[in-house]
Amino acid sequence: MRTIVFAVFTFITAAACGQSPILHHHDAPETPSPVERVGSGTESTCPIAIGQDICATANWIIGPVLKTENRFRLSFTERLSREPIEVTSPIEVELWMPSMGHGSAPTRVTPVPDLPNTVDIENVHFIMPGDWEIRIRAFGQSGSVRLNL
Amino acid sequence: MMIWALNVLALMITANPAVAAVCCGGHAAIPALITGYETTRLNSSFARSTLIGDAPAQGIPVFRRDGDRTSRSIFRLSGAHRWESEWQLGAGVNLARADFGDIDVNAAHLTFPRESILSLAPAGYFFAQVLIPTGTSVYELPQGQFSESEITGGGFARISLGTLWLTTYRKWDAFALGKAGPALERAFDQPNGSLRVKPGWTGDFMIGGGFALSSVWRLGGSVSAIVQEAKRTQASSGEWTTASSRLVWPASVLLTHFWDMRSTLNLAYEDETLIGPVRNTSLSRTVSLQYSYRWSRD
Repeated sequence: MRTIVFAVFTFITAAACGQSPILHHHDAPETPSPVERVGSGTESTCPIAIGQDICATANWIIGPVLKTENRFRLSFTERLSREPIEVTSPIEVELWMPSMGHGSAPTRVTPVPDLPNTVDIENVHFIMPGDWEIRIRAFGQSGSVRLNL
Repeated sequence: MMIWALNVLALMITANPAVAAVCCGGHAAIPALITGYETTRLNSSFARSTLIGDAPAQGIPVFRRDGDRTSRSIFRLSGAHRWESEWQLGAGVNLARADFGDIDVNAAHLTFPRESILSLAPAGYFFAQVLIPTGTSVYELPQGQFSESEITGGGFARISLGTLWLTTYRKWDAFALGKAGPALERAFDQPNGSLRVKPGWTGDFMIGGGFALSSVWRLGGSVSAIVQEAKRTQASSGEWTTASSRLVWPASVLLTHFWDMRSTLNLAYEDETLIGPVRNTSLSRTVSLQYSYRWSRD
């Protein structure tokens, strides 16, 4: 009996000292945290820097949430003049979990009528919670935006 | 009593429910080993695993809301056969959602048999295990399948070398198991080009023990550490990126009932939320029920 008590006590001590997840964790919020922009730009001037000269702005139409299809709209402007840039070459959007080394694919890029600098990104699925990166390749350059779900 | 104790150890090793984790194919399987007197054993187990939370690469874990806690049932078949007193072969496969998971095959050698049950000197086994990636990995989800519960395999062939040491003393038993090995680089076809992944090394280390409550009941427990080297990925653009390493500490308790001299029932509970630190991993809780049947040489 003493040995069992010793084993249980040792286990509890190990759990407490080793940053036990059950003792040290957050509960997921009811609503997803807001999108955190990354890249060389700042949110007010250049939400998503695509290379040196282009900025992209992402606005969610649906989401971002888990377990359902999300959709967002992506608009491109020149970084300095803020003038819209017409999308004339294919846009690629990739969803990636940098810490895990995998992602979710494919997304679908659809032009928006009457808005030549804008595309809708559909078929956006976040298959599990965690840190996600939306990688954008456009006009021969690339940029990314990060979010936590 | 000696036969009872050694058989219990065999069950203790193979009844670990760690293969049932929900996300990303679960852990590498604990090899099916015979450590008792039987020549052949078959195990079938049913596990119900629920994904409770996620640990980031940096920072503290986040426990999911109830609606985001993915659950999955896994059926596992495993077995082993000993054709000489020292050598044995084993294999196991998971079945989830009517789909095959990864298959593991192992060969083991009893290198250091116990001289006497009165001695504490342990028996020592060395084994090699090959994991064949027959399941569906996160890199191979079919188009239109976007749920982590669809993932039934790790995606990579893995070769591991390991060792198991176990001993008994009166009503007590104890064991230590360690294995480590690399997973093989692999390329996956993705909608936007090929993705090449170097998964790196994985190490599994487990210690445990148990106590005979009566002639037909045993209570045991174990703690594992699973360490996985950071994956490196190369996109179609040619650029290599490095993910983060993974660390998780599954802890389990196991109640064993000896139905008769041939068959055994195990009820196990494994929890990955108890011991830390944990890094870059999902955190699951698993309940499993296993039935084992043994054949002995008369």
